[in-house]
Amino acid sequence: MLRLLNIILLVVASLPLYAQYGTYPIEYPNLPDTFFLDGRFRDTLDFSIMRVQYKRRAMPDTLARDNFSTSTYALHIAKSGKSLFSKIDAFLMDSAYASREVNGKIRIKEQKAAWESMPGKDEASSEVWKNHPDKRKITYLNRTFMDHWVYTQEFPDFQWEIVPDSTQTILEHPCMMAVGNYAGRTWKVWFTMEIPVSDGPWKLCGLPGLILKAEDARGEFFYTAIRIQQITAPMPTNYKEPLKTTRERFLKVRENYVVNGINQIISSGVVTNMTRTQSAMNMRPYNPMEFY
Amino acid sequence: MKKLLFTLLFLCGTLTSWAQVSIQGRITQKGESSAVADVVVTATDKKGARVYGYGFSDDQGKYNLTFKMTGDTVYVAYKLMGYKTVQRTFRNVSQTADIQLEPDAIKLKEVIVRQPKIEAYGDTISYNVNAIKQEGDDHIIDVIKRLPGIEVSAAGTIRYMGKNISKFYIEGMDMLDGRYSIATNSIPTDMVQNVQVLENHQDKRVLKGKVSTDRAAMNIKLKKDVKLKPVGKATLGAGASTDELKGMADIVGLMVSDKGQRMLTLKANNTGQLLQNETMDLSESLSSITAELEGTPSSLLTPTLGTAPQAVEDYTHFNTSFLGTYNRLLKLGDVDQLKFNLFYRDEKDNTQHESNTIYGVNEDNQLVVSRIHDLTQHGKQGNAQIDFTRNAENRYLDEKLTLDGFWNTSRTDLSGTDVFHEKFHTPYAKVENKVDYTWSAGKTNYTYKSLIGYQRQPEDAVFTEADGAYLNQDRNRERFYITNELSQPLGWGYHLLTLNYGATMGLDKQESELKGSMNRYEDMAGRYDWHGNRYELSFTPSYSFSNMDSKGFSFSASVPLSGIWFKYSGHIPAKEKFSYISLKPSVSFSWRPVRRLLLSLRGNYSRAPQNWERYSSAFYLTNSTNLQQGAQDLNVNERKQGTFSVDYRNPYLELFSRLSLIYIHQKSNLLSGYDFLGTTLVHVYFPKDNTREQFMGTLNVNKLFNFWRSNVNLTLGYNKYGIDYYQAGKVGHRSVEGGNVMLHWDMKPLAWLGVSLNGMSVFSHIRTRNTIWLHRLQGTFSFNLSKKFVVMTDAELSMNQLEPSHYKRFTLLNMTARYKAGKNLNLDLDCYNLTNSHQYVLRTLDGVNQYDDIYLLRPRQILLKVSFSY
Repeated sequence: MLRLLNIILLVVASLPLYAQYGTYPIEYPNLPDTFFLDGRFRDTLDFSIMRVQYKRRAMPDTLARDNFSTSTYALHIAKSGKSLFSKIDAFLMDSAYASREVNGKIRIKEQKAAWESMPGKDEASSEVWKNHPDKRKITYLNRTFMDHWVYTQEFPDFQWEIVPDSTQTILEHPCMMAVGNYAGRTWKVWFTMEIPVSDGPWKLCGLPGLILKAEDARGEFFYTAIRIQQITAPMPTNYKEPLKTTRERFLKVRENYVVNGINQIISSGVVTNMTRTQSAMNMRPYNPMEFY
Repeated sequence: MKKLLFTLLFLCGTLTSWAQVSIQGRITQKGESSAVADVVVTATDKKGARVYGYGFSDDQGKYNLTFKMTGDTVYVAYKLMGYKTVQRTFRNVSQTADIQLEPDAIKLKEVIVRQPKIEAYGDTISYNVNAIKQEGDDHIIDVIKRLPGIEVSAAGTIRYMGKNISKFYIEGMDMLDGRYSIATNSIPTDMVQNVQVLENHQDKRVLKGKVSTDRAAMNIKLKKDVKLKPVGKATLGAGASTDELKGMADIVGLMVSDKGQRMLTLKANNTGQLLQNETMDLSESLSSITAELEGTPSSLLTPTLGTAPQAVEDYTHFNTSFLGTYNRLLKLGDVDQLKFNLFYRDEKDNTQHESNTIYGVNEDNQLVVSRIHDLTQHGKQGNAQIDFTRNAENRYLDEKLTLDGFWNTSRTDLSGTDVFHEKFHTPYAKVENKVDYTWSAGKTNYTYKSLIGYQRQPEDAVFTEADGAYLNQDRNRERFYITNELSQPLGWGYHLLTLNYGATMGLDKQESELKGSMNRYEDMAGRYDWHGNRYELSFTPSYSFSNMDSKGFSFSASVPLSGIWFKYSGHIPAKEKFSYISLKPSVSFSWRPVRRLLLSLRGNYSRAPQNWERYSSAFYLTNSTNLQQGAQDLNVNERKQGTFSVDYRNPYLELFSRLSLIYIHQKSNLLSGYDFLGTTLVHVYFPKDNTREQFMGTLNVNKLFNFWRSNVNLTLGYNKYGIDYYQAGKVGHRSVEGGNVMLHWDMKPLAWLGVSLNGMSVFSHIRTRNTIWLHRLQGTFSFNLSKKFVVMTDAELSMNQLEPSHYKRFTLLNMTARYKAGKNLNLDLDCYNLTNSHQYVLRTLDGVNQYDDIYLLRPRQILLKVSFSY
């Protein structure tokens, strides 16, 4: 009887411990609660009610199909429906970039690293504002080296097709799969109707729930939600007085910048003595998210 | 007429139900008339699993939901963050519905932030080491063994979805080549963030996007805080067994940066852990035996071999082992790298066991042999390798020079039914140079491969019986070989034609003298010297078509054609010159209907029409009971093989599975079996036509579950073959069936309890006779008594159905108490072999069942270990 009592006590005592199963160390960095890390003033366009962190994986070179760059982005959603999608450490980039400069010039051995993190080469320095300045409008901001650009477009028509009975659980939310097309790529996304926000990473939106995961059919771009937070925080823009353009023009400008950008950098005078890595840089691959 | 009217009415009704339905209205806030914009309106089935249509309310709160469906009822939900969800049920007809939403606090589900256990992006699958490892997984190989889709053979070869990995990288750099066991057995688990599998990995940049491959590579991603600085781990231990002092040291130093890598390992122990597998070269060229059965899971290679789970075999050695390695990779710019690899191993091993072996189980003619084995082996091996690689966009060059020396002495003392002593001294020295050069020339790429080497093996074998009769063989072998290959792929669209030209020359020289006083070998004594030259020219046209990306199919056909010439002199009983043409065509077809599913069908045929095997009458004594006449390899005259496999891998569901069916039909010229020489049973290879037919099937399913954080790996294997056999002077034909069920289940049912179960049931069935079963369940339990204190223990439950040794038994094996004194400091108290146990092995060797009941002498020992990371 005493043994039975002991066993019962042991089982009862272990129940609270049982509840802890399934957790293990969190490896992702916590997003700072404010963006004003470098002390610079920025315009705050709204305040978020929730924030979703996404891990982005991108294949910069389609000939090196197992080489992915990884970075973390955040989608800030305001009660007004406005949202901002940008890289978490985008605001730190300027200071990091500046730290490589010696007497105003970038050292030779840092050239390649500098080029790898050069703003505007991909989406790293972009801001995607949805429902801004008006409903169903996207404001896209990015830069090519020294130039800042902005354009506005309507919400893309992805012509989503929801795939019946396609379920997946992401961050404990049941998700359904939908397939849509935009700018030459087919996107396969998983959205949850438990979070009734018609939004998602990058320009992806238009479904009856928040998109928690997205991948393009070529297997070159991936977004996966890694954290959802209910948080009130300012939504600042990093751009001041950018040059207005159109989406089509910006795509051409960026392609020219990525493929021939080295010439722009040399002509700017910021970087000198590029001979060693110039040829390699000139062969930089260009794999855009939007083909047209 | 009524019927027609009824039909028309029915059709109209049906049409109505298929027509587009519109539900529209205005959404306002409850208690106010203000419009609510951006409300998500969805029309679904009752469970919400099927969405018929969806829409959003505009700034005036108006919505218009249009959809098509066949049912009578539709469930419409009105959702917006900050408002209570409203759900309405409507009939499947167009109508108007105004809705009022009630404000509510925003409540997001409390999300547990955690890294996925498995992630997939593109051709990369990334396993999260933290999520899969178990307590006690000290080295990364312990975790790799648990990864779904991956299996590790006893020798350390890593396979992904049934195929050997082609490369092993640490942070994208291949420092160790085929000797990656040095890294997998040395790198501490705590240093690794992810283990990645790179599917369809083409390591040559010049061929990327031009020549596809279905092989995968493995990449170890280290944690950020262990990169760009020297890191390491040292484990030192001391203790005692019943009759001697015990000690161990395991030290690894690692430095990984963008400019290169270096790794130093030092290991020594006399606690029973052998180190010989850690320096084995697992690269493709040396694993031809498994490559032949490529696509076959390792558990199928010997499906009826009832081996014990790993922990039972550990700590049965009385050893003194030392291994030191130094590996250096230097990046010389963007495309060049230079590697140095050095290792030295000195290992003395003694194993003592008693065995009762029943030959010919379940046959009338059985022979029971009892033996007491005392095996001692002392090997010293030194190896140095230098490797230069240029991996540029337009050319690839890999130049590798290897020096290898091995001094090995082994001694076996046998008592019981046989009394025998044998001693081998088998050193060898080898120097080898490999070149792999691929260059781009216009629209095509050429690949040239060259291998040139020289090896020398002076061997000495002495056998002594109880009465003093002895047998001695001195043998000296020298071999020089050179192989050159040139291949040229010609591609257009999805088509690829590859032409491969090869030339090989092998020069062999052997001097052998067999002498002694044993009567049964009397006729065989004498000198056997021969020289042999072998020349081969080969031409292999291969064609492949592939439109496979995420979907599609591929087809390939290859027709290797070789002309082979031999010229021998010396002790040659048959002709001195002979030649033959070898043809080994193969076809394969793969279809990927969806990204995660791959169906493959492959057929191979080979035929070597000349029976050239018995060119030498020399006898080779490979151990006291193995006598071999002629060349060592089984000569397969004709072989047909068909393989069908279905791979399903779904990283999102954390599910990896593989079904493999293999059929082999082969004719060869050597029978293997048992014979009696006097009173001694001898395993012989008998020159006789031999037909073998074999069917093998394996299903492997590996899935991770959130329930108890489970990792379940289930393997079912079945094997049936018909074989010609030789036993006791008679040739016969026999049909044998065998199979196994293996279950590996890691789980964490409670926060303080981790369990790892290994279950295995093996059966063997011989025609007209009973089925013999062996069951074994082994468990490892870890008890996290507090954050700092863990106790781990192994136990085993086993059952054997075979008479006369029928038994059921529970055995406690090892126990470890670990105290985590700090982030970088652990103290372990290890107790090995708490209870000694027998080990039972059922083997089916070329159709002859053999049952071994073995008692392995295992030292009970206790060891105190300190581990320190820096």
